[in-house]
Amino acid sequence: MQDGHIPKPGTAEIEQYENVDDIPKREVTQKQLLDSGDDPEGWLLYGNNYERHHFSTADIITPKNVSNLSLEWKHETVQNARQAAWFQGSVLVIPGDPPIIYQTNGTEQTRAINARTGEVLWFHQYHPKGIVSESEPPANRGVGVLGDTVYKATLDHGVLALNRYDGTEKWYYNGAYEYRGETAEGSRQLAMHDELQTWKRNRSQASNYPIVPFEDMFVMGSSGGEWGVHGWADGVTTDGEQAWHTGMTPPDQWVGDAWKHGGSTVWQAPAIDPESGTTVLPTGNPGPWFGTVRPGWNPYSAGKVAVDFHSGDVKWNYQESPHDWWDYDSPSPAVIYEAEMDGETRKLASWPGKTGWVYTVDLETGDLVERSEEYVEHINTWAIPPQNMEDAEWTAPHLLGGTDPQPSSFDPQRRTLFLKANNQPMKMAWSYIDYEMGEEYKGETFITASDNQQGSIPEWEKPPGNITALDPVTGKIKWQDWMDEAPWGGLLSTTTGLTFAGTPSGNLVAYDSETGDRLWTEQIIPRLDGNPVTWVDPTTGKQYVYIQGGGGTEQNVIAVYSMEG
Amino acid sequence: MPGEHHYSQISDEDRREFLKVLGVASAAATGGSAVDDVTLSDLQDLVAVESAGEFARRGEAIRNDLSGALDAELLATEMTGVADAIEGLSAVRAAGVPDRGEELYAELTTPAWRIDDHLTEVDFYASAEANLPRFTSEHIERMTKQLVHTASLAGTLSEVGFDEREQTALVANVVSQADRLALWEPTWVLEEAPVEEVNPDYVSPLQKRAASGALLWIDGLDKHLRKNEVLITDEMLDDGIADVRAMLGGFYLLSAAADRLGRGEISDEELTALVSGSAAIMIAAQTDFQYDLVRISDDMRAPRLGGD
Repeated sequence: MQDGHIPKPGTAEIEQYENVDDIPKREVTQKQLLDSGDDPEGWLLYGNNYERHHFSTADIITPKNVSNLSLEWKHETVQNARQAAWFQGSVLVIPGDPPIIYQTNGTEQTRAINARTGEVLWFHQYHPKGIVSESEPPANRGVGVLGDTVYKATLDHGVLALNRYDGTEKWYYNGAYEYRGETAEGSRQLAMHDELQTWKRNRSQASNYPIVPFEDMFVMGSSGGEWGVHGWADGVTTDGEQAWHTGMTPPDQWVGDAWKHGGSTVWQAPAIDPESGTTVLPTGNPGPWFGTVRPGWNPYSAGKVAVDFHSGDVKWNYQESPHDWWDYDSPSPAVIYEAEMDGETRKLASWPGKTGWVYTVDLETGDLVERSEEYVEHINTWAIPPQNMEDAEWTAPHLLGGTDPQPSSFDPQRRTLFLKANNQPMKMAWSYIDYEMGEEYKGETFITASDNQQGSIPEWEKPPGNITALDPVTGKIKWQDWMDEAPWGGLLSTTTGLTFAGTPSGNLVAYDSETGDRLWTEQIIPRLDGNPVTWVDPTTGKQYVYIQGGGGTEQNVIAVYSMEG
Repeated sequence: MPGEHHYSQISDEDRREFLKVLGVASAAATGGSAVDDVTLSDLQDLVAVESAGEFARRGEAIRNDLSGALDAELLATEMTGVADAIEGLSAVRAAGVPDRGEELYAELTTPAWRIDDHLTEVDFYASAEANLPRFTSEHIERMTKQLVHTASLAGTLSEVGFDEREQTALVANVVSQADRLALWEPTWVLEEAPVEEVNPDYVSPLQKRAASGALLWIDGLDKHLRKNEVLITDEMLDDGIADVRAMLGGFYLLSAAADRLGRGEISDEELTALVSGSAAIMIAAQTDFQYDLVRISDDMRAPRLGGD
C-alpha cells in the first residue's frame, strides 16, 4: 500500500511462502480476458468469458475417455477462518509456467496456488470491519485479475486490490462510504456509513460478489437483502475510484420512503456484452418481504437489470416476480449469446430463476423472447403467505429456488443451457417481532417439505433436485437428472460435449452434454458446492479439472483431476 | 387458485356472501332480483347501518386533522382528467401492446398523480389513516353496509361509466378479499406490533399505499406488456384492464370524497365510508391485477413458440 499505509477499515494477514517467486511476472492483458473463452489454457474470468458461459474449448477430455480421469492433487483440510465458512466459489487460472490458480473461500481468504502441484504460494486473510453473522456461513465466490492485480470483494462492502505476485495490498475501495444518497463523514477510504458498519454480515454480503474487470473498470454489487438494506451497484475504476453509483430502488417508482428498505441487491456477478457494454446484473428480492408496505412493481427487484458498463445508466429491467413476497430473487447469472431466430441473428440473454423457469430476453431491449417449460414443479405458486404457519399451504418453488445463485453453463455449439434446480415445497408465514437495525431482518418463517411428506403433498411428484439441460430459445427441456437433494454450485461444459457438476452427495460428475448420461463419477466430499473449471497446461500436456467444496461441514476440499493428451 | 377473485368475474357465491354480510337474507328480499342482478340501489334501503355514530366521529376527525386546505379547483380539474382516463381505457385496450416509446397506460394516470400529490401535501392520507380502523372482518362488514347505504357511491361511480352491475361487483369484491385486506395494516399497527423487517418510519399511510400503489401498477403496464407479449393472451389482458378500470374507479371515488370534503358537501359518516371503501376497492383491484396479468402461470400463458 502507498507509503506503507493501509487505508482500509479492517485488518489483514499476508503470508508469502518459500516458492512465491514461482509466479510468472507476466501481466494479464485485456486481450487475454476477451479471448479467455476461446483459449483452452486459462480460465481468466468468473464464467471464463464476459458472456458467462462457464464453457471451455479444452478438448483433451472427451466423452470417450473421461472415465480415465485421475486425481492430480488434493488439499483435504484447507485452513479456513471458521468451520462454517463455505467453499462455493470459482477459481481463476492464469496461463504461464507454471499456471497460477487464484482461489477464495469464506471467510475472506485468498490464495495463489501453483496449478501443477497444488503448492500455496501466498495467502491473504482479511478481517473486515463489522460483525460476521454466525448463523449464516459466508462464502466468497471468486476474484478478478487484470494486469498485475487481483481484485477481491470484502465483507465490509469494499474491494481490495492485491499484487498478484506476492499478495501485498495496493488499495481499498470503500463501497460503504455512500449509502442511500448519504455520504459518510471523513475520508473516502476510511469512513463508512453508520448503518453499513452496524449490520452483521452474512453470506449474502458483498464478499460473495465476484469481480469482473473490463477495460479500465469493474462493477461491484451490494447485498444483505435480509437486513433491511437498499441495493446498489458501483462502477469502480481499476485504480479504485468510483465511476458511477446506481441505486436499485428508484425512489420515484416506490411509494413514499419504501425504497429505503427496498432490497433489490446485486450479489452475484454480471454478464457483459463487450461489444455494446450492456451489463446484465442479477437482482435480489424487494424488501421488506411483507409486501403491503411497498405496493407496486418494486423495480428493479427480483430479476435482471441491464446497465451501460461505463456509465451505469439503466437500459432495461426484466422482473420475474414483480412485487415479490416469496424471496424469489434472481441471483443466477445470465448468459449472453447469439442465436438464429426467424432467419435473423439476435443477441440474447438467458437465465434460470428461483421461479423455476428459464427466461430468454433480447439483449438490446430486455423483451422476453421465450420462457421455458417448467424445470421444477409449480405447486400453489404465487399464494400470498398467511400470518401464521397453521394456515400456510405447501407451495413451490421453494425460496431457495428453482435456481438460486448456482451459475449455469452454456454450450453455444449445442445451444444448450445447463442448470441446477431445487424441487422442494415450502410453507411460509409472517411473524411479528421488534425491528432493530443491525439485527437479522427476514420477515418470515418457513419450513421445507421432507422426503416422507411427499405422498401427502399433491403435485409434488419428482425428487427434491435436478440438473437440467434445455434449449433456451425454444424453452424445450432436453434432459434432466433428478436427485435426492437440491444441488448447489455451478456447472462447466466443454466443446467435446461434457458437462461437469458437483452434487449434493459430494460427487464430481461428468455428464454427456447431449444425453445426460453420467459418464464418470468421483466421490470427493460429503457435499460439493463449488464451480468446476478446466484448463490445459501445454508444458505437461494435460487437461485439468478443478473443483472445491465443503466448509459448511467439518470438511473442505480443493481437488484437481487431470488427463494427459 | 390464488387469483380466483376479481371483480369483473365475481361469482354468484361471492355475491351471496356479499348479501350475507349485508344482512340481506336472500335475493327475494331485493324484490325478486336474481343474485347476479342485485344492484346497490336495490339494497340501499334494506341494509341496516349500525354504527353511523362511530363513522360520523371518525369522519369529523379526518376533517379536523388536515394540515392544509383542499384545493377545489385542482381537484375538479384533475378529476375530469381521471374521468377521461376511465373513458379512454377501452381505446387503449383496443390498441393492444403499446409500441416502444408509447406510454399509453402511464399517460392515463397523470391527473391522478396530481391529486395524489395534493392529498399527500395536505395530510389527507395521514389523517385518514390516523382516524380509520384497520381492515378487520368487523370493519369491512360495517364499512360495506355504510357504503351500500351511501347514495352518492352509486352516483359517483355512474359519473365515470360504471353500470349498476359493476358497482355492485366492486363492493362485493371487497367483501371477498377480506383476508387480503387484513394484510394491509396501518402504520400505527406496525408501530405497536412491528412486523419483522418493516421499519414503520419508511411506510406510507395505508390509504396512500392503496392509491399510489394502484397508480404505480398502471404506470408500469406499458413496459410489462411489451416485455411479456409472448406470454400474454387476450383473456389475461381483458381481465387485467378490468382491474385497471377498478383501480381508477376507486381513485375517482376517493378524489370525489376529498373534493366534497373541501367544499363542505359531505357528511362525516359518508366521508368515512367512502375513504375507507375506495381504499379497499383500490387494494382489491391491484391484488386482482397481479393475478390476472402480472403473475403468469403456465396454465394461463400464451402457447410457447417452440410448441409443447
